[in-house]
Order: sequence, then structure tokens, then C-alpha cells
Amino acid sequence: MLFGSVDFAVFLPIVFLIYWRLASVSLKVQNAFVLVSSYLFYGWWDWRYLSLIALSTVADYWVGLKMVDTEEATRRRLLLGISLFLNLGLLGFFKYSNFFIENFVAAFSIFGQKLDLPSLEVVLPVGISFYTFQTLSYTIDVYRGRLDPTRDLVAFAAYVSFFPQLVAGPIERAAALLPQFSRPRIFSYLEAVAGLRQMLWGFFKKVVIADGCAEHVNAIFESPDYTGSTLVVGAVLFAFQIYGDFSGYSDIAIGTAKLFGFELMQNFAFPYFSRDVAEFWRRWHISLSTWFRDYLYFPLGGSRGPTAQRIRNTIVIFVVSGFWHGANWTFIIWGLLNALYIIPLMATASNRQNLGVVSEGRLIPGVRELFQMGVTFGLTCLAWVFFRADTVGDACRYLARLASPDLISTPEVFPNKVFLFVLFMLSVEWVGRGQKFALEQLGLGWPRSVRWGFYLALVLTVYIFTGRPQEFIYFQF
Amino acid sequence: MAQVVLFLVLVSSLVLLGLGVTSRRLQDGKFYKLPQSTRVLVVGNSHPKAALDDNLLPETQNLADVGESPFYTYLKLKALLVNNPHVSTVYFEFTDKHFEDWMEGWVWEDKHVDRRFFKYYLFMDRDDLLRLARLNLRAMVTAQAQILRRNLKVVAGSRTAIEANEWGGYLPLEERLQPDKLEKPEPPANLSPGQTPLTLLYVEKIVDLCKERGVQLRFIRCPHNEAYRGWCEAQLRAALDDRFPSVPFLDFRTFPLKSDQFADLSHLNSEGSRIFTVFFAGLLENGLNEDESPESSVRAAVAAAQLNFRVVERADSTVGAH
Repeated sequence: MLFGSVDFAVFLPIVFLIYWRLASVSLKVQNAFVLVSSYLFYGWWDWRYLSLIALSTVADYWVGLKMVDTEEATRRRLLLGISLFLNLGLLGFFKYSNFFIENFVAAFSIFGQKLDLPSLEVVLPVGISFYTFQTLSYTIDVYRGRLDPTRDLVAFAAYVSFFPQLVAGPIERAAALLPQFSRPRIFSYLEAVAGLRQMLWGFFKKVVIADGCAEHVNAIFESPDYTGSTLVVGAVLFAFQIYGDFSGYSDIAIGTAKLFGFELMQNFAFPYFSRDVAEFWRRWHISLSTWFRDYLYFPLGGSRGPTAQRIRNTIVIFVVSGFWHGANWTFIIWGLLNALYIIPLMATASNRQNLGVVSEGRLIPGVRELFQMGVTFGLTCLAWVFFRADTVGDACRYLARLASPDLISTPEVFPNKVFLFVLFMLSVEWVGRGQKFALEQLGLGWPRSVRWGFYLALVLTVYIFTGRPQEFIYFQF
Repeated sequence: MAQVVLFLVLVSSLVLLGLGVTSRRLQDGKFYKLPQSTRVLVVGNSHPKAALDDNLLPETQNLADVGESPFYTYLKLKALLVNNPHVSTVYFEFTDKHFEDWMEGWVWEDKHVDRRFFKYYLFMDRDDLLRLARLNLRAMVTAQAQILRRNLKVVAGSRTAIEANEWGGYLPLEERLQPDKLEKPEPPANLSPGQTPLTLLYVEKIVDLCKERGVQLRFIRCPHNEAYRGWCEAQLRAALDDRFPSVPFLDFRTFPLKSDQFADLSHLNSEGSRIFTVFFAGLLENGLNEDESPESSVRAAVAAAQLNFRVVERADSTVGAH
């Protein structure tokens, strides 16, 4: 089920009303209802893939319980191994099997051997990269003794499949979300309204910004003949498309969760206002980057140890993160590029310089900050070309063409309306950059008529720009 | 909670008001005007869309559209014929493809409703709306947002639907049919030929509409490559004889063209279209619109064209041999 669809528009109010009605019955029944609704939400796309979530859920629930029943380190490691094998195995099979087969065949052909291996006709289950990582965080934290395993299968299953964040995150840690299923949720009107505001902003970013950019991005990336300046426009538009798409989805997910009394983690903290790439990665897809930090980077040694080791760890993290995004060398190179951006900052110990909010307390940024944000944005745009391109060759050709003499020329494609909306979005986000989402506080002090007029304008703009809901980019992960 | 409900009511009211006001505005006939000189319309799906270049045809406008079911062609004609009494002839592409059962999906499948509902909803009567709603209510509801957006654009721009390029038009194709594609495909095992009641109902409605408006209707079939499937030819012939005996069927299927003058087995490319259009223009100039036996005239003309084609081919191969 897509968030922008008629199905969801019917689904959400019904689930909302029944959910809060069940609050007076019992917590267990309410959790069971969340579970059923979440399975219905996911199964709307294809009910057969519910078996995968169910398998992952039951296996990790069992692993968690067995881990605390034994003191033997070997046995605990074995149980963790089972969880890792199952979850990463599922992910590997559905997402990466054809990538490995194709590259295996290509490697053999370098030696003059032609292998005739069939490619597998597997459909990538929506959201598999997200829920497997979510449930892995549970077993790893239980293994590390940081979390007691739950004995409530319904609550655990509801945590794994919680519909607002099931298919595209945020990837919630068990320690943060699971306890919320164990305590009664109290309806808060203010929280619910805040949730609606966040959903509205998410829909604006997805429908108006992301979908508005998408049409032009597709045209520019599909044609090799545009001028360098037009290719710059394409890269910039894609940067806003992916931001609008993904952060928009996160806002809708977090806002929806608020309607049900749940608090999800912030996933995007205005990353395009970052002053360096290290700050960018503290603000972009926070749930994934912190997951990799805690479960991969730190076990590798993290920032301790000699510089060479730290650089190695950084490269590993970004390459794996790139690979997580897709079974294509383009994503790996995208990750590697970002690692290369960060390494000089690490080497000069300047990767933790910009921890606070840019231009905090000021409306106008300083010249230096503007320059820093511009350079950081430019670097991320260059890397996004690899993320968007179908092949490494396409990306290299794109960048080579971009760097041609007609870089200094009037772009052949310049969608004024889209850029106006992007400017509007950036302005609103700039004003709200110190908060968890742009509309958290914006307008709360205005007279009601003005505030309602603003929300009305946003709603009508989203409505007018809604066509057939396009799939969210991150659904392919 | 009351405030949220009030806000939602306000939003819904504004949307409904917008839809109502713009829809009413768009019922003005000026949005569906064709140039006064247009006497002939070509309608249907992608076959005539690619085959007939109306820039080369006198007094003719090609408003065929890709993937258009007779359901939508009927609604289009409803709007156009009422507001353009100077149109005297309609050429509607009607082929054996209209008897392949999957054609019914062209009425109600998401992508078709998505592409067409917002253009033609104003001309749907209660029966049309109910028929579509029974088949795909969700797509109709989703299309409401498109309606408002498009209506605002058209009303603000004051362009006609034709000027806005919404209602079809000639499209030259540049692809060339490759030799390895010249194989007659086998029909799928689950094909149910002739099971297209909705499609045929609206072909009937087109016939009745033209009769009611005093407009001459001709069925045409644009040139196809000889490897084209033709799975439902028997059903087409039976319908022409039994259901539509009064409508002339001008069959250009075997009009001679080289394979590389096709984009695929049933669509002409720009080169093939130019040749066919010039031929068709010749027929129009010779009074095809006024011809009381257009079928036999077309048969004779196509036969003559085939003869010429064979002569030219033989001459070419002789020259080539030397």
C-alpha cells in the first residue's frame, strides 16, 4: 500500500478509530490490532511475502529467548549466527543473488571461460532491507546484553512489522521502539496534530518536490545529448528528488506513528544545510548510518586505533552502505566516493567540527557558512550521479559530459516552477532547521486564520500535484 | 479533534468547489472547437495515430490516441460533434484487435483511467460513469486530483483540448521493423476471441451517435505488415456483416509497403505514413467522402497500388541485378 494512495486514505482513518477504541479494551488486543493492520498494509502489495516477515519475526523471537536461557558464549554466538544467517541470507538471496551471478560470470569471462548460469527470476520484496536490519538490531542487542528479550510475541511481531515504518524506515532500534509496545499509549491531541503537520510536510516533499523533479531528472538522465549546464541541473534536481522522496516518506512515517502514540526517531536533520560531508552523514538517513555505526563500525574498532585502521573502517562502512542501497556497482562507487570525501576530514581531525545547528539563532547564514553548504551540496550532487545512473559507464559519461565547455551555457532544461517550490521548501526548512521537522513549530504563534490558510495552501498544492502515486525511490531497497 | 474535522471539511469543500466550478466552466463548447475548415475526423487508437499525417490531408484532423478504447473515442466524439457541426465525416479505426479479450482492459485498467478519465468525464452520462465505477472505482477516485489540476490549467490558459494536445493527434514514428521480428506470433493459450462486449457496445454507440448527428461514419483499417497476427479476423467479419452492416469498412490492411516502412507489425513509421497518407489524400481528392460504394473503391485502389508496388519491386531487382 502506498502512502499517497486512495487505499491508504481509507485504511488510515479506519485503523486510527479502531485502534484508539481498543485502548480501553487491553494493550495486548491493541498490539494485536497493530500487527493485523501492519500485515494488511504490507500484504496489500503481495500477501505471499508476508511469510518472509513472519519467518524473520518468529526466528528472531525464538533466538532472543534462547539467548538468555544460556550462559555459554559459544551457544549464544551460534544463536546470533542463526539470526544473522537467516536475515542476511534472505536479504542476500532476494536482493543480491543476480548481482553475484552476473559478476561471477563476468569474472570468468575475463579468463576466456564462458559460463552459462541462469539468472534467478526473483522479485525483491518491498522493504526487506529495512525490516531485516530492524529485527537484527534486536538479536544483536540481546546478544550484547543491552536489551532483555521480550516474551510477548505479539508485541515483538508488531514492532517488526509496524506499518508506518515497515517499508522504508526509519530503521527503529528495538531498545527504542519495542518498549513502546509494552506500555499503554495515551491519546494526545497535540501529538496527533503534530503528526498530521509532519505528514502534510512529508506529502509536500514527496508529491510536489520529488515527483516534480522526477519527470525532468528522468528526461535528462535518459538522454546523452544535453549540455553540461543541463546535466548540472539534472544532478541538482535529483538531489532534491531523492531528498524529497526519502525524507518525505520518513516524515509521513513518523507523523503517522504519532497518530498512534508512537515516537519514531528523526531520520533526516536538514542534511543539505551541512557544512561538510561528515556533518551531512550525521544528518542523512540517520537510522541507517547509526545502525552501521553501532553494528559494524564500532565492532571493527571504530575511530580507535591507527589512522590506517580508521580509514579502512570508514571505507568498509560506506562501501557496505552503498551496497545496501542496491545490487549495482554504481551504489558501491557512490559509497566509496562519500568515504573519500570524509577521509581527509578524519585525517585532519575535522570531521566533528560542525555538530550544532548551522547559523543557530540567525536567519541569514554567514558567507563562510554559505560557501561551506554550497561546497558540501556540490560534492553530494556529484556522488548522486552514481546513485541515479544505471551503470558506472553511464555515470562516468554523465560526469565527463558535465565537465565539457558547454557547462557555462544556458541550461536547455530549467523547470522554473519546480525550482520555485524547491526554494520554498528550503526556506521553510531553513526556518525550522533547529527542530525535528520543519513544521514542528512554524506558524504555531500565528493567528489561526493565517495558520489555517498556510496549511490549506499546502494541502491544496499537494492535492493538485497528486496524480497516480509514483512508488517511493527507497521502495526498491 | 473538532478543529481537525473542521479543517478537513474545509479542505474537502474547497476541493469540491474547485472541481464544480472548473467543470462547469469546461462545459463551454469553446474548449472543444475545431477549425471551421475541418470536415473530416480520424479517430481510434495508435494505428491511425501513426498512419495518417493530417498535415498532408485536406480538411482533416487526426485525433487518434494511443491505447484509446472505443469507450473513450465515443466520449470524444460526443464532445466534438456537438460543438463542430461542420464535421461531416468520421473515419474510425476498427479491426480484429477489437475482438481480443484483453482490449476490455483499455476501458478500466488503472493506466487507461489515469490517462483519460480527466479528459472525458464531463461527457460521461450516468450509465458510462456507473459502468466504469463498477470496474475500477479506485482509479476514478484517484483521478479527481488530476481533474482539478488539469481543469485549472485549461481554464487559466483558455486553450481548447485540441490546442492543449490532449485529445490525440498524428505521431510520426521513427523506428524500423527489423527482419528478425517478421514472424507471425501465436495466439496466447488463454485468448478468448470475441469476448469484448464493452468494446463493441461503444462501437455501436459511436455508430448511433454519428447517425444521430447526421455525420457519415466509415470504419477503416490501416496498413498492417503481412506477419501481423490477425487472430480474430473471423469475429471482425461476422460483426461487420451482422452488427454493423450499414457502416462501410475501408480495409487498407494489405496496402503495399516495405517492411522497413513499418515501425512494428501494425504501426507505420514516418516513411510508411507519408506514403499511405499521400495515397489516402488521393482517394479523398477523388471523392472518397462522397463515394456511395467506398469499400469497392478502396479495394480497387489498394489492388492497383499492389500491382504498382510489384512492378516497381521487379524493376528495382532487375536494376539491382545489372
